[in-house]
Amino acid sequence: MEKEKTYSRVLLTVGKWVLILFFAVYTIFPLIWLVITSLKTNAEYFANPFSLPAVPQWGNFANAFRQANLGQMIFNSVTVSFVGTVLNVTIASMAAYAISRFEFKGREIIFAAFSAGIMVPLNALMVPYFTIFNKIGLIDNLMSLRVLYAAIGLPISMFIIRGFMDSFPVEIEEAALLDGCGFYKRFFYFVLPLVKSGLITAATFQFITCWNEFVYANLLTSSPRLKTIQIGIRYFTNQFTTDYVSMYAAIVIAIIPSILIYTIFQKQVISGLTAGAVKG
Amino acid sequence: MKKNKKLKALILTCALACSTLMGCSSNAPEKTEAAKGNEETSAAAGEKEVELTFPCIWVGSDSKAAVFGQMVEAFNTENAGKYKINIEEQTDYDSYEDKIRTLISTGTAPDLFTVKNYGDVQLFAQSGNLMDLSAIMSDTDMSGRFISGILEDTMMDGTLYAMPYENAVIPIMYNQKLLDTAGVAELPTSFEELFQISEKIKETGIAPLAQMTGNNAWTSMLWYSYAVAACGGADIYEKGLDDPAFVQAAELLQKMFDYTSSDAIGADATVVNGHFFNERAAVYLNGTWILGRIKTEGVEGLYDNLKLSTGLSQDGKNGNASVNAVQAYICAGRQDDPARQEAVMAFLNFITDQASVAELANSSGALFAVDVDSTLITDPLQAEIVKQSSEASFIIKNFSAAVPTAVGNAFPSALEELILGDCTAEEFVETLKNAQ
Amino acid sequence: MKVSKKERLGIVIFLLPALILFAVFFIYPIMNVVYMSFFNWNGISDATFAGFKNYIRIFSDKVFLRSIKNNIVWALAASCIQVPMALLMALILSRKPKGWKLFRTIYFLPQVISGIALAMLWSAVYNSEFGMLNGLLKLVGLGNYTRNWLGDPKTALICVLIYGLFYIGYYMVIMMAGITDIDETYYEASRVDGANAIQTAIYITVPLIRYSIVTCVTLAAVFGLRTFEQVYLLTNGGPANRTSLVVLYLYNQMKNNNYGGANASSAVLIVVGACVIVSIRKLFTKNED
Repeated sequence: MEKEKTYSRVLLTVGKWVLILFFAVYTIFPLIWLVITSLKTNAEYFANPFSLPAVPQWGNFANAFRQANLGQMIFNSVTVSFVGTVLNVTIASMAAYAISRFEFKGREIIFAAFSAGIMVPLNALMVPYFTIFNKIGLIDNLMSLRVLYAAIGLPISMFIIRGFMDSFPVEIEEAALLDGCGFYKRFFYFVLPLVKSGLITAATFQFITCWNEFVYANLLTSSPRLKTIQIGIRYFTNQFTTDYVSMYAAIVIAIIPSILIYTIFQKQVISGLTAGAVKG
Repeated sequence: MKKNKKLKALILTCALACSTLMGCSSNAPEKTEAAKGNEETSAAAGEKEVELTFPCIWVGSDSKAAVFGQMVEAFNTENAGKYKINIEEQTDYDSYEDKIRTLISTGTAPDLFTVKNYGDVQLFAQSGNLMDLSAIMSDTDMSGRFISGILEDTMMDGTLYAMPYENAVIPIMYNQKLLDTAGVAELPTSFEELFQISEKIKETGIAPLAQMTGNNAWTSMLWYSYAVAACGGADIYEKGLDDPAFVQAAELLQKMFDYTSSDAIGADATVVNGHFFNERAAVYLNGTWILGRIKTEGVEGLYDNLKLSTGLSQDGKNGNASVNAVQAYICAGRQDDPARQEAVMAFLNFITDQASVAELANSSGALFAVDVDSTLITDPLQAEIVKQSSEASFIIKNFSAAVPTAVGNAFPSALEELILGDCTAEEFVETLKNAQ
Repeated sequence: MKVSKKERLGIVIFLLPALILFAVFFIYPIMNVVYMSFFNWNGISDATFAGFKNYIRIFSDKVFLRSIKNNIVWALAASCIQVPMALLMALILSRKPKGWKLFRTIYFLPQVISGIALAMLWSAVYNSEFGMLNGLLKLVGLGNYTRNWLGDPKTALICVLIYGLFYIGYYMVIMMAGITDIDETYYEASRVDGANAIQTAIYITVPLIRYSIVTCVTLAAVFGLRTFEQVYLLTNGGPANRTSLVVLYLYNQMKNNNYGGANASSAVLIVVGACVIVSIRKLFTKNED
């Protein structure tokens, strides 16, 4: 009996690690390929995309950074994504609170409408969105991107945050209500901390959506100093050809800030979550 | 703990406020700049500087970027205080087309921009948002610089809405070294001979013909253009897609796929270039701009082994055609202010100066609607291509340039169906016809 | 909770910003799209009324029908394969094996890598001449199985679809966040009862994070219906439109200056998607009873 128990235990552990390592290799493989390829020359890339560079072309990174003016673009992407995320999560959590906690007429319809918003194909809306910002006079202004991203991320953020809020029964709040906690106080001091992981999750996705967005970043801006990192990456394409190795170098450079921000965010999650658990 | 939460909420609100303020403050100077621009356009003509915006694709890593940029700067310096061209860099071509389409749909056409398809030029002209450029025709000095007939071809109902600028000449390119290995002594002059030499090359383990169906099926589309030329002759496009020559040409193209690499279906330009540059394919089609890349990215000696020819004949007819097509038309958004109209014409005049265009051609490998004599071209192969084209029996457009946009867009997937055996050559042409 | 008068004001204030943004950026454009779907418009000249012609045209286009089918397959694959894998890894990593923080970050990496790079990589992997997949097959002696993966109608859709399924970081993070919210007391009770790891997972953890799971399933289905970039960059809908998707179809309609067809496709997509979201929600809330 003892032997069987340890046998199955070993099997489980091995199985567990096989899975963990499989996914790790699978997901890190693209990054490794990117870094290696960005150290090649275009000729080497065309000859064989999976070869190693004969001589590492470290210059590709400096070139990419300089030519595409990546520094300015990273800054733009950071401000746009940051504001777009903060706006989005604030507004979404407020709306999710109202929908999750209170029964009122039309609540499910509003939520259904927001959910339908997730389905909207943004590619099809170039003409209406351009017209809107043109009328407001915000073309060629990063504010248009911040507002647009905050808005288009609303359905998903609301969906996620509402999901987290729903998992906490309303009764918890009623205790606070009896204590004399008002509407706004309950929201700030009680509900928000409870769904912190939901907020961070929604914020992470929103940030990445903003960071990776290209179509409208390109459509709604024209001045070079307003370009975001996604436009910068495509600096190395042109009508007939693409300077792939420089483009990959630019992509690698672009990944660094996002990884940094993600790691810092995750640290926040850990400290926030453990505090929440103790309170729980 | 409550204090912590309060603090965090406070920080968050401050960050929000700061970023919004940052947004607002960067808003202000932009607004005044825009306001200034408006002031200038409504001011009396010739007194304040006229600024034209030009979202331009000839930037960044495009081969024309360096010299074209210099040309614009020279224009700005020469006309300082009077005219100024602001280039807005556009590097992603598909997004550029989307942007132009959106801008014109919403009535905010840019001052200057380029268009690839003539079909799109016709469409944009209908919107009434394009500037009438017929003044180019009446300026004999300017119109005389162009290749004969090219301006007339661009006119619509007697009006010129676009100026043809970049012109592609597409030769057939052969890697002579690979041909020698296969025992092929002479370049083919007919499609029958092409298939014969392809058999020989196939035996040496190399893909004889480079083909692609991915993206816009560029290489295969060019082959189709030559096939259409051979089966239908010089005025085939005027006869329309009902002409049996299109079906015949489709059968030729279908046969060509028997002699290509296994990844041809779904291959894009990267793959095809990779094959030819690395001597995995023997015959290739592309415009003169590729010569520079062959030198830098091709294997050792590839450039020196290149042999060029014009079109092939079919059934002994219609050989020696040259596929040319306008790659870029320059259009201008409608201007109501005569000063701005002058600015546009001055710029167009400046960039069609024959010496400047020759320099542009030599630095980039591209060719232009402005006639540049082959003796002025420095690159030997590029010069030979120009020469062969000028001595061709007839000039014909490439297929995408000669048909409506939707038909050109339908070509790649229709081709895939043909090659996969899902449809016959007749049905292939039917699909193209129905796309209109 | 019932609503008091004081709270009513709060509710309105809290809903207002979201509703305003939603009205401007969703309702107005969608109404515009639906309205224009009944017209023929090439983006330039005046629109002419076309009634239901656009809808009839796209529903008779076999490419559009195939696109819908492909999207449904995609949505099913994502929700039934990708999400369960993500759940499994979330359960494994929540038990905090060595280096779990590092692995969680690694699994999330593909999200921050530009889609272009991933597409170029997999395009190269699948290439029949010099690709890694065929190379590996030849290496292990399975050379007979090599083929043009993205150019063969039989394998194209599966190949485009499957490589993304293993990037589970997105959903795993959602579910891990849900798991960390679970109160310790639940686990203590089960430990007293002598439950092992698998039993704990199945009977305690999974039921407690059902909201997260529903969220992930819905998002996976929705993203499956909404996919665009992956196919656009890898096959552009080919070969012979076998991998066409609805958003790609409508993008091509726009490129052909056929805004009527594009708007009709958008309208169909939104309706289908909304139905899917509502059905999933109903399906899971029914199970609770």
